[in-house]
Amino acid sequence: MVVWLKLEDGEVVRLVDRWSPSIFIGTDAKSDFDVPLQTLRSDFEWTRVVHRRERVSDPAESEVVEAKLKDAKKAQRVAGRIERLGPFGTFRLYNADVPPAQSYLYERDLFPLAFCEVGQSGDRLRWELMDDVWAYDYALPKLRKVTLEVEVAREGKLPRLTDKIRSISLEGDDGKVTIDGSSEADKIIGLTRAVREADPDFVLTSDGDTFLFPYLIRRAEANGVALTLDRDGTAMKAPTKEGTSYFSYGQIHYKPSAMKLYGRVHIDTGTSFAYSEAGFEGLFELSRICRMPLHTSSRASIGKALSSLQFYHASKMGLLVPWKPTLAEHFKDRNELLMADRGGFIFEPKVGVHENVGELDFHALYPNIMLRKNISAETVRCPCCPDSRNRVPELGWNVCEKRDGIVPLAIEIIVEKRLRYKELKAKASSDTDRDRYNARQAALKWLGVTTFGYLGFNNAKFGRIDAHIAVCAWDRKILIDTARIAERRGFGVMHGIVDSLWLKKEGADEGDYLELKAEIERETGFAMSFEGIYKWVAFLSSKAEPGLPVLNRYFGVYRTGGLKVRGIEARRHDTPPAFVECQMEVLGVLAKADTIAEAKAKIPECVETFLGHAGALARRETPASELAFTTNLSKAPEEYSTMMTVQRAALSQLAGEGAKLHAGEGIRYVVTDYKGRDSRRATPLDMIKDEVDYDAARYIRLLAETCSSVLEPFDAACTAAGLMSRYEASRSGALV
Amino acid sequence: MGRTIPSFRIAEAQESAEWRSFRKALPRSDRAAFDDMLSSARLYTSASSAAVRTSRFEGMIMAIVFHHYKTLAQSMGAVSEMKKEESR
Repeated sequence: MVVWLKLEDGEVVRLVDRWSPSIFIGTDAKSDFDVPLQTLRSDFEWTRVVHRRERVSDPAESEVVEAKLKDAKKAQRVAGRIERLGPFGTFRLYNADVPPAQSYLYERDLFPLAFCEVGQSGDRLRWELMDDVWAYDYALPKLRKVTLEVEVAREGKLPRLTDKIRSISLEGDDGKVTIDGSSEADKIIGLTRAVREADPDFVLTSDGDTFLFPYLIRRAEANGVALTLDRDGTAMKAPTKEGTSYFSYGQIHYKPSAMKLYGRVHIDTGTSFAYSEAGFEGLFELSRICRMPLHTSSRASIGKALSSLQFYHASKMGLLVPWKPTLAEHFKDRNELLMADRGGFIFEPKVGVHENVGELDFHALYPNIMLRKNISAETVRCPCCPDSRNRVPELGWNVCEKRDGIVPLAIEIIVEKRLRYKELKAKASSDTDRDRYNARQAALKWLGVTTFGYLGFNNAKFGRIDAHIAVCAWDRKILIDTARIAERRGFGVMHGIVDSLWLKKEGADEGDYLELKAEIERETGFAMSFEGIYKWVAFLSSKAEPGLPVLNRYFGVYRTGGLKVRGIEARRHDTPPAFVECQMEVLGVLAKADTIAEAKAKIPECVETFLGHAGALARRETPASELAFTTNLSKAPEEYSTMMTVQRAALSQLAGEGAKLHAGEGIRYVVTDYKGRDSRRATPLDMIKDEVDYDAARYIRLLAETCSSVLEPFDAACTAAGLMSRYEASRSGALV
Repeated sequence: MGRTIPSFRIAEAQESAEWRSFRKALPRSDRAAFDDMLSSARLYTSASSAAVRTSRFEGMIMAIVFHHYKTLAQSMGAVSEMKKEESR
């Protein structure tokens, strides 16, 4: 294992620890062990019989064989060969797909950026941790960061690997350096030299995994020079495998091959979820808590990070990580399944605009349910506590009282640290501190959100649907109990969804809400936060079926002046930026109103705002780049039907320029001829210039729909058609 | 893993789709009323889900009947108010 250390004086050293990971093999008959141990003898450094818990639900440890691998990279290949030595199920394989770097951190009880001392004895390292993963104010080494940008001398409309480099720039704390050179080879050599001199710890790129590094490597090869950006002087090589498309939460995503550097960390800001959501501070917190190397955590989904945290706890409690989990759900008859298989509770919103509505939210309700009620795959309906006092509401299932589940054990740090960071953020005396704590709590928030989904995810190593069901049952009980408490105190429920409630009582002030909050906390045992009282809040109805409520589409203004917007166009990632700007401008006008009547009086001003933006579109003053729709490909480009939708029109043009796209990759396009029939219906953003002739009429119609979402609740005349009429009238007025 | 039973929101849409032939046989002028009636069930989706019935139709019909009852009771109340006004 190669370890890079940053010393207190800033020097960076590379150390090697003689270590390789183990896989574990379980069988029902001990004599079966002989076959794999003999057949694959050459792949193992050594083997031994150890005692471990095989399944999370096992009450005790059993005998398994630990096989220390000679080559860490072959773990899954070796596991596959063992599995094929007998009928499925003969050999149970464990820890085969735990990344070796993570296994190393778990075994040594280390984490990235930990402050520690290390000693060397022979070819082994001895670690002394002088840091604590639970620490809130930990010291980080001074890290050097540079941003790498490359300008491509495009020959076509899209950049290609065969295009030459126009310029390279490297921007760090000391300013921006442009790498000059008469030839392309000089520029690459200059880049290598500049990186060596700047000696950064982090190299930030935009699209470094998908394009920039593969491109630079190809240009270096074409010029017969080496691209050496690694700290140990290794020349970079093109990735040997393609990226992968995967399905998550109803959407296809694409993950490109990682372009990693030895001794430095490359962060592709375009694909890093952790960095884009929570910046460096969030990424560091995530890496520390989940014990994942920074390269890995910057590219990992939050689910992968959560898995790593669970693997760490598994390793500490002698529990093995199944290569192919086979933990089945408990049997349920039809009636029990109907009763059990339901989600969290929802009170349908009362459609319309309401004044003086207060909002109360439970703090991280689902993670807290798991933590406080000990909900985990192995604890729900455990065989050891049939008479447990901890029972799942409605279903009556017993929950273990004898041992803590692996899920609650893993999430404790997420829940506790996030709460503490939020407190620290509220008390922070400087913007720097506030931003730091906010970034850390944001990273932990995403981890918390994922914990629940992972209970019911079929690839989760320690998931089981029964635990997922138990959390939902608790949620329904808590939300219904909360509503009854509120009603007892004279509040009406305007809307409720999973962990948030919107309540109203004539004349209620903040004190009334805080008293209610205290009573709810006392009776349910779960902490809440009072978000505030809205001057007015609009719960929207379905666009397809007016009058019917839709969940999580609302906007409102707190008495303190803050605007809260959920589910409408301005919050959607696929909405063109110009539409977001216009809708937020309209909301800004409405937000000045203290009452619904005042908001209604501001409708003419809002309509003028719409007309102003529509006029800019008609005159094509709005840059085309502000009008791009964003969409993720739900399948491979060749799988799309032949019907020329606007999305396919953009795809067809990208394919024509040689772009290779995968399912899950995002494309951005501008509608250029909506009513057309060929590929000119839309143009990919990468292929346009701002003066492109976009379909202004189509955009004005869509803008009217966007504005009507926030105006119609106040004025029934402000439908999309109504706004279009106003626009047409303003045009004819202008002509007159 | 994942959910086996569709949420009641999805079940309502499935049930409504199964009544397409009924809707098709109605005079065109009646279809909007039929659509409105089925949609009214969605005002009480959470309650229908909480009722946990093996037939999704039971939950929907209870919601529709309840909405009908509420509407009728409100209308009756309004009528009696109007009558009181008239008699004054």
